[in-house]
Amino acid sequence: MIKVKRSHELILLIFFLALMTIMSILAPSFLTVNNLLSVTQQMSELGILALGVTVIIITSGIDLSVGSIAGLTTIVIATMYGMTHNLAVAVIAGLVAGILCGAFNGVLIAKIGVPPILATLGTMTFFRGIALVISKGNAISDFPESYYFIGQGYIFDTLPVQTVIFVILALITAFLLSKTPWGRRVYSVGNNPVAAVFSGVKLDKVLLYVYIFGGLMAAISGWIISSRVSTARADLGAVYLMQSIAATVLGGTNIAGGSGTIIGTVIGVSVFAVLGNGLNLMGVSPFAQNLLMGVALILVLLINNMSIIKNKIVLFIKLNFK
Amino acid sequence: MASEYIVNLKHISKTFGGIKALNDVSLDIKRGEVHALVGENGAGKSTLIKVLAGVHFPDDGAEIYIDGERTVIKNPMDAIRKGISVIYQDISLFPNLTIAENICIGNDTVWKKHLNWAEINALAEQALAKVGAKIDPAMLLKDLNLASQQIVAIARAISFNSSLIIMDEPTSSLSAGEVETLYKIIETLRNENIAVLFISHKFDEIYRVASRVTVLRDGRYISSHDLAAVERQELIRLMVGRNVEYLTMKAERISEQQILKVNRLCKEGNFYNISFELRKGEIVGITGLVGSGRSEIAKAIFGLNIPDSGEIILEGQPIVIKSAADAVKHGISYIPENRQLEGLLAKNSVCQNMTLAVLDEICKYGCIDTKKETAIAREYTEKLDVRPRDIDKPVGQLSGGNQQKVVLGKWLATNPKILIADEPTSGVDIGAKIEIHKTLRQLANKGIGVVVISSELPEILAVSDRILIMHRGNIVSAMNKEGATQEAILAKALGA
Repeated sequence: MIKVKRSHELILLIFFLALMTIMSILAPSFLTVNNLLSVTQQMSELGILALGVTVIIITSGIDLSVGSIAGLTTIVIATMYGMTHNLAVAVIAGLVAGILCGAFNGVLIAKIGVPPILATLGTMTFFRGIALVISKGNAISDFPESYYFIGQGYIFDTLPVQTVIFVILALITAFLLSKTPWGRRVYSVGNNPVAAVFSGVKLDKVLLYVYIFGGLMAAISGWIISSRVSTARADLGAVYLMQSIAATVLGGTNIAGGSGTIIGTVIGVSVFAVLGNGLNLMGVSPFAQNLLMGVALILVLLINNMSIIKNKIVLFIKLNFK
Repeated sequence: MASEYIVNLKHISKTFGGIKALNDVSLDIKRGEVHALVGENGAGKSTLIKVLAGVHFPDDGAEIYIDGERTVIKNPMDAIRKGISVIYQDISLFPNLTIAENICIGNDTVWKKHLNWAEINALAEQALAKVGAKIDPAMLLKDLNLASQQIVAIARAISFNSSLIIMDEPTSSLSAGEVETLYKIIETLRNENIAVLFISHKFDEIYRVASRVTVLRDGRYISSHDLAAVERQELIRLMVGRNVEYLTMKAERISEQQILKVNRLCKEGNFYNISFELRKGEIVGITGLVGSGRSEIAKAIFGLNIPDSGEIILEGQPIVIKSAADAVKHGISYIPENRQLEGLLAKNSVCQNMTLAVLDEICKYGCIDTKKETAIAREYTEKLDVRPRDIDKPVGQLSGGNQQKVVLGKWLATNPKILIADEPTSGVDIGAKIEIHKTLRQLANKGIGVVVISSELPEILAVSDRILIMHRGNIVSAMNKEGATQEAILAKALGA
């Protein structure tokens, strides 16, 4: 269903497999079913967030508020549960809050025309502010036992629940992007918004739904995080913001819009997760882990821009040594 | 001893994505002369000056001589240092910097690591004095009107000791008084032995300020003349060219049935009181200079430029079009003038481009029906003879003519009632041009109302049944195909 047709994804996949090989040699406990499953568990929260971010970046937009939306979602779920003691109502309220946040971003960007980076820079602080006001800055841990299933439970005693959710959402997103008119319009808007409008695409409507989708993914991610850590806190999810953008770009989504795939993003997220897990197993300090992840990102991006770099060098030689 | 010529260009070619914008062009400019560069839209004037300005790097084989010496222009700053400055139509200076900064930025004599403001202001004042301008160099550029900004740009060129100043349609946004001031400045430049390359569509001013002229057509060099020895009519003939022979195709039958009527359409600053009608099976051609309001009218009908007043009547029903999506729903389609910017998703495939306007119609249970999609793409690549026949190829990799066929295919897939084609053959080779003309005629014969907007007069004469000529936002003349000549049309379009 998902074809790896672009060379970038192939390069990234080879890079990823090489990484896996190195990790399994250096850390013997790396290549075990249990460890690999736990890697997928660790990457799911970031991965789900990155699904939304990918769709947004394909339209040549950006969303800096996804971390705040995830945090706000956890607070809304906890507060609603405190009020109603009905978990289903609380979770639905949390997801609706995420959708509304996304819609708010969408209206600012699509209807009013605020540049995405500015609009979401504002809402990043705004949404976090709402969460802080509601929670008075406190962490809330008043959840029933059943709430922990999503973030800590297993299906058939082996498959982490959040991995399953991530896989399903990744498939759905890939389907939406590649098979529906909406997905086609998402790419067209990112590739050439003027030509898209000139072809009768309703730019504002497409963008509105894109940011709503981003908000919903952030909310689901927040839901899982709070379930895993058994806590709701306004700043949960904030750490994933830059990582989700980095993983998306690493996965081959053009930051200028127009191209990108879900399979690429999934591999991008996997690279981060494998690096983190493997380095942990090898006992590398978290500080050095940061450094190595940065190096990996820069390396892949350089490879991705190889042709441009080559052209520049050729013109430089032509002008200066002839 | 200095050469008689300040600049000689030989064998200048420039290819963009397979299209030759310039093909073996030469240009010789004498020291201190005012040289006019003329040609129709798309003749290659802008590309040529961008090569001179170091914006575009010419294809291999190009020879550039400055002051008789062979050289290479590496980048825009390099061009300026070698004495070539360009005054662009939109000025291209820094609005939020002062006049003095705008004049001196990048000038090695004063723009050093430690800026000496006294020196900078002195140089700016000196340059402004040379053009006789009384402007305070401490003012911000954005606080000046366009005419004064242009003077600042000229002062900047002088302060760099330019020996050639290129002016791209410098009078297009000036009032009559401001034009006189500009003429005086050009006179001053000539006295300083600075050459001016003057690009213009207006023959009056060419004959007024320039002494020699070079004509370009279709990216090729045609000829150079002393203006004293060449008549205006002769210049027009050279610009238009006689060698392009299009097939003139007559309408099979134009029905009495009106398909589109535009009634007193107005948009301040764009067009005024536009009324015309289009009948089933008819091709109406609209021509006029760039900026005469042609494209603006097309965009108004297509919902991209909301008019202030007037009505659009489709098949007898007044309709309100607020967006391009509305227009598409009403069966109106628009092939935009700028294919790259407005018509194509360059990175997407032929197939995805062709189905972009009909996505909702090729859906099955909310998903794109791939079979239907490829069937549509196949059908129109066949019908329009798009080459290569590879519907998965990114459109950006096709030649100009084939790209335009893809845009055409996108609209034919919507089964339009009206097709508005804005410069449908710009940047397209002659063979593809004729094919596109044929297709337009076939569409008209099938009962689609076709509007063709073009600056290319032979094209307008070959494809249209009726010709509307615009000048400064008004339709100044309507001609039937019979009896219309290029010279008559051009005279009307120039406002004569």
